[in-house]
Amino acid sequence: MKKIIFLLLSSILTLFLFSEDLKPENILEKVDSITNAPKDQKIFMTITLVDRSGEKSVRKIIMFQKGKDKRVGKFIYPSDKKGIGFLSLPPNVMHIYLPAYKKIKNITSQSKNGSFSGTDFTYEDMEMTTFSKDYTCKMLSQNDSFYNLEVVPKKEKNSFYEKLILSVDKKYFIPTRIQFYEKGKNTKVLERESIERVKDYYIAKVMVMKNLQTGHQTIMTYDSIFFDTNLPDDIFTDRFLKE
Amino acid sequence: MVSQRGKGMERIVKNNKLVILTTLIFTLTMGFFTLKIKINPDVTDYLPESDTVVKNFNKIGRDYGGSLTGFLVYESDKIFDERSLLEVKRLSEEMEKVEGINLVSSISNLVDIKSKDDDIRIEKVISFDSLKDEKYLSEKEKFFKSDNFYKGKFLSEDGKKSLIILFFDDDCDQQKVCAEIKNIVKKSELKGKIYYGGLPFLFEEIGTLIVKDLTKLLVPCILIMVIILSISFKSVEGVLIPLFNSLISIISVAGIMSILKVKVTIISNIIPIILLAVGSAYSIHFISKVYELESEGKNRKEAIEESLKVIFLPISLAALTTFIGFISFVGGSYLVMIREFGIFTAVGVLVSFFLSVTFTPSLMIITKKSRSVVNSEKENDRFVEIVDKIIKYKKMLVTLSVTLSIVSLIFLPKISRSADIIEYFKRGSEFRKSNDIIEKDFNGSSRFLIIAGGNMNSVKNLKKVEEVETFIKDSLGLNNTNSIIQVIKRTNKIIEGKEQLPENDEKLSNLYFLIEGEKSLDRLIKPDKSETVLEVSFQDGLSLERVRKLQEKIEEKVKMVNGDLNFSITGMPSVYIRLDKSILKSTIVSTFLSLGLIFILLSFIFRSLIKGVKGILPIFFTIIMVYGIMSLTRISLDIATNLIGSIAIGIGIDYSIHYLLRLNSELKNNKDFNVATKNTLLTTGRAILTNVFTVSAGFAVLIFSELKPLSNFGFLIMLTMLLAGFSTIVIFSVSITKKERK
Repeated sequence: MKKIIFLLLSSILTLFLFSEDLKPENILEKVDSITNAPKDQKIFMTITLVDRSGEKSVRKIIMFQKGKDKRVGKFIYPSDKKGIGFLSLPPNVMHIYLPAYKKIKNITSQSKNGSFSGTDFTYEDMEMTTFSKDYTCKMLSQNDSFYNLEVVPKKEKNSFYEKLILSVDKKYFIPTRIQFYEKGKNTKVLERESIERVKDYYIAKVMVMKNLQTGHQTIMTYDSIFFDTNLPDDIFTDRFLKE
Repeated sequence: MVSQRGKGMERIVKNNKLVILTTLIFTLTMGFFTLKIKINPDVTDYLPESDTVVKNFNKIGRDYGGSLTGFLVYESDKIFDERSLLEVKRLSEEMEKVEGINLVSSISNLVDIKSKDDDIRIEKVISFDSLKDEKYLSEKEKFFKSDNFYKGKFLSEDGKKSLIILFFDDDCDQQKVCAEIKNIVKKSELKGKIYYGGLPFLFEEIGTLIVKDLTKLLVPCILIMVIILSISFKSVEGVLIPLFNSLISIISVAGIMSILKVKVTIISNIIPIILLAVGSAYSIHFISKVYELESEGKNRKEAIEESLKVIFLPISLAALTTFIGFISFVGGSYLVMIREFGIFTAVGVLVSFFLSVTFTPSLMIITKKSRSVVNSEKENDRFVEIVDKIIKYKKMLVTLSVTLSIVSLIFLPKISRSADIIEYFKRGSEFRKSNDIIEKDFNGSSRFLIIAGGNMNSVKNLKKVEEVETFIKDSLGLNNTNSIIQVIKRTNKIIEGKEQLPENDEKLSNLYFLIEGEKSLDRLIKPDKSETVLEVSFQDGLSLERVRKLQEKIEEKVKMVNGDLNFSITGMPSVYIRLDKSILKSTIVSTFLSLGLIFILLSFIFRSLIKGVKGILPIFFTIIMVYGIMSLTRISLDIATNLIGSIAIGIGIDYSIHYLLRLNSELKNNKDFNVATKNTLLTTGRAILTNVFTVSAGFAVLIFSELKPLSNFGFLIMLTMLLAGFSTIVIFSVSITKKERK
């Protein structure tokens, strides 16, 4: 309870004291501190793929995440995908478990631009990002509700994107809208909706990624989420994938 | 009725200034809309949207992210050297930035999957960090020339050309995208040479040529008309009035098309030329009649009033028959563009007719200037001499006509047909050269798209698609196929070392998981796995007959393996096959339809079936001869030349009508047939010849069209009009029997 009061107070204080004068770099730091705050997460998620004609297909996964870059997930629906698992470890290594073959394959990709399981999210989009460390930024505009920032990935980030335009909600310091630019074109838009407080954190429970080129979109909905449950390290292993 | 018409004519003469003003306001309004008219060079729009082939073709565009593929060929001394590869890379990256291009595929961005034990590595085929390594470049060149999957797709056999494939968004403005691409290439200052190919560039080129044709041909056509009309009428009004008539009709039709949002197509772009030639005819006959009456001593007003009364019937009948000729395309043609062409040209004919009995007399009252001499006696004598010769050699002329017609009839079935759009471009044209390079050095740009509907999560169903693909490769020899089957087999090889479809549906589902989301796969399978597309590419050089046979064999095969799957075939070759069939049908149906309708009309006017037959005889012989000449000169029956029959009937029959009506009226006043014939020839005959030359010259300009079908069309219609005019005079001068004379 003390934690919540502290968090709320500090947010309100930040809002009153600094919001008008915040530099873009400070805004990104604030975004990072909000987004990367949980130590670990256990998420039950529904992924809905909507094609350009409006047809939908639904998948459900359970995903565990620890820190910024350890992630393991398993498909629990539909039945033909049940048991397929993925383990993502730094740097750029993905282990995939294919139950029908009973095999684990280690996939290394030069590009992180590959689609994450047929969704409009790439592996790069699924990575935890530290904006203040990986990007340079400049303020484009602001109004009563949003800061609009242009962030450009640093070379070390090895990003596929040329730049992102973030609309950061002034109340929660969550980028509720991100426009992705590839080779001069705005190719995708991510919108975060239904911001709720879960435990000590504010999270957007619905994320909609629209591919502006194909008309395809992916809706990720957090059915339930658990923070800071002290996930053991042996979850993030091949053995767990095969279980 | 006559007296009512007479009153109407008087009113026109009386309110001539109002008529002129109204016409001018109408023209200006239509002119405003004309400026907004748009061009549609997409040949798939020839066929109605409800056509199964088109439906499936559009469906692929909708469901598989665009059915249109453009090609850039980069040519240099050697592709696998640092400079060339970097230029291909730069160009590919520039193309990815273009709005309207959703995927670019070239040697610079191809991704390969390699596997070793449990490790799968996804990497680019060409590493741009190793471009200075000669050995590496040589190995990669060998790879692109020998690998089963890539051979002939991205690198030419001589190693000097590289293909960049551009996948266009289905709903993009193709012309704009193509123009932007060309602009980027121009600005890139590449050392290598670029060639353009594929449907989007082809459509863009056709669009450019349509505009070029319209601007390039209209002016010379007008100039030729001015010259001919000057020679015939020897007066300024005689030149300007028919010209105004035609121009107003053209503006009206273009304005109406623009208001109705009907775009100009490769066919309707000849409407202005046709209206220039045809639209002038009615006022030529009118002016001719006024001059004739003036030469008999009547003043301008009297001459105009009487001309209106006398000429109204022949002109309206001529307009009606021409209208029938064009409107017959609506019932006779399956092709949308031809139907549109028929409707709007018919509208233009009606406008021209209306103007010739309203605007023309109204203007002539103002101009007032009488023509000094109608025709000198000397000229008349010369004309009479020709007529006498025609009568003298009548047996020979008839024999010659019949012989020519029989020879033509023999050659008629051998007439060739052409539906491939590349044939629209003249040999040696820039675009054709580019296309030849793509066809010769790469696997070809023609593609059958075979849609297989059914549950593609089932290995059993995929095996059926595989059976069709294997049949196409092994039995038909079409080795360049692209399918989800190949991708699945390659992925299965990576997972368990066997290049074959997986053993069960669970394994298949696991493989789908691995490849899902790859942009290039969206072109091969629907996301819900309810349908897949098998692409079969081949070179353009195959004859349509061979392509048709290939399609039939594929159709037979898919029927055999059908089972739970629902196969359908589309793609541009299928569109061509359908077009070819439609062109032939369109030619036959519209020609006979217009011939039949006009026969009924003539029989009704002259109250005689025999006269009805005789009325259509000159044009019937003409059409047979023209088709014979087409066969002999190897001019194909195509999207434009298929119009010849009905247009010739619609326009050519006017000569018969004018001739027969005048002859009838001369026979009423003068019982002597020879005198009546001579009078008819000296008056209407002369007007017919003026019209024949004007119309022929107008159409002859089309010979200089950049598009081959239109060029051929111009030549043929010129020939048709000359033959129709002369055969009317010859046949009627010699074939009217004594009984009929009475």
